[in-house]
Amino acid sequence: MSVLFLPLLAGIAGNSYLQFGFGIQELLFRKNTSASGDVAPSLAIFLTGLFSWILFNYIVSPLGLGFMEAFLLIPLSISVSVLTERMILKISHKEIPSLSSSRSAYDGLAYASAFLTLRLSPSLFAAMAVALGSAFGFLVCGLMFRAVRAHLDTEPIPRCLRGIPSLLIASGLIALIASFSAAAVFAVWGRTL
Amino acid sequence: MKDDKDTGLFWGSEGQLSSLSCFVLLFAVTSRMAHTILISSVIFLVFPITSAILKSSAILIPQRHDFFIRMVIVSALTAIASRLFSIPWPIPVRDCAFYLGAIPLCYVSGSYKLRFESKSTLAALVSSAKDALVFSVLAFALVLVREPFGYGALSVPGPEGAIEFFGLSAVSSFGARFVSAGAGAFILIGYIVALYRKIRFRLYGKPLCGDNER
Repeated sequence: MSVLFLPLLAGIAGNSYLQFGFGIQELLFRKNTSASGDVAPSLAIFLTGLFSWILFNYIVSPLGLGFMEAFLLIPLSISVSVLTERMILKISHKEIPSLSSSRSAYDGLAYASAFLTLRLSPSLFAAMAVALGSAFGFLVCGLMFRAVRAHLDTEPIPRCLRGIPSLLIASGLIALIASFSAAAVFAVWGRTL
Repeated sequence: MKDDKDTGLFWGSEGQLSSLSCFVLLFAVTSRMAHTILISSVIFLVFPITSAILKSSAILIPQRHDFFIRMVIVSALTAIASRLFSIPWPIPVRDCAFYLGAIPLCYVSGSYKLRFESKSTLAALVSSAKDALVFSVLAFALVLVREPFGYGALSVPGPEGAIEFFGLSAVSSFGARFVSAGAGAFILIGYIVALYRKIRFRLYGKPLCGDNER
């Protein structure tokens, strides 16, 4: 059980936004703040993580091309993000818009998921769990920032601090908690390996 | 209110602090000056060269897949630049591998349009170099606050990692050490953005809140 549970927790705790600063445009700047807007990014984060692990472990590395990682990860994460968004739009029968978010791999969230999955996962199941954890971490962040945004709208805040500055300060306070929980999860996972 | 052409690369709506286009790099690599020096050097190399290549080969790039081709080119150049810098500084390059990968994303966001819509190859090159300079100035301003408080030292990249050259052991037990952590970076950048908006409002009359904010 811990083989899957700890990587899942590690994926959530090693949150790409709170720990590494990826995805600010996706979480703080975007216009669509509904929960349904989180589906495409989370699916892309999961699929990019999983697909890159399979690609690098079964194709790229056995061919001795592991050094290509620095070059391949960004185009790969953008391709998976764009394809995922197209797939979702096709299923939901909506017109295909400019796909601007997916073109930046959701402001690097999909890239971060791929990088972390490659670094943290010793097996395919662990890779699935870490990628799933990364996607879940994004969903949790989206949920939190919707709640924070709703509160900030009603609070008396100086005008220059409204919007992004206050969301960044709130992110800092959440990141304090996240970094302590991440340290605990990685310490426990490290002992089981 | 002045428009973007008057306000330029820093105060305009596509400037680094308005769009937070290089946020991930400002956030991550400004805790150690060794990493800031490395990333700034790579950006100084990659941004102008990529702009020059893309501008001069614009006719050859098919319209349909232009964005993807640009991403492949900038990723390839970043990978080459990383390899080049790993010759003198192998350990700092390994430590920053995660963030070096984010440089292509930073290149195509923010003031990308301003750079790419320049009239000539030389203008695109100069515009990109200016953008890299803006990033470097911001990054160095941040690191000069974060590293002395966090590590009680300033560092430069060396072949065996960061070389510290200014040590203050008293700072290691100081409460403000958290500014070198991610949480501190969020809070620090949050206040810097607020201050930036206030100054921009005084200078150019631009609204204190962003386009999508209330």
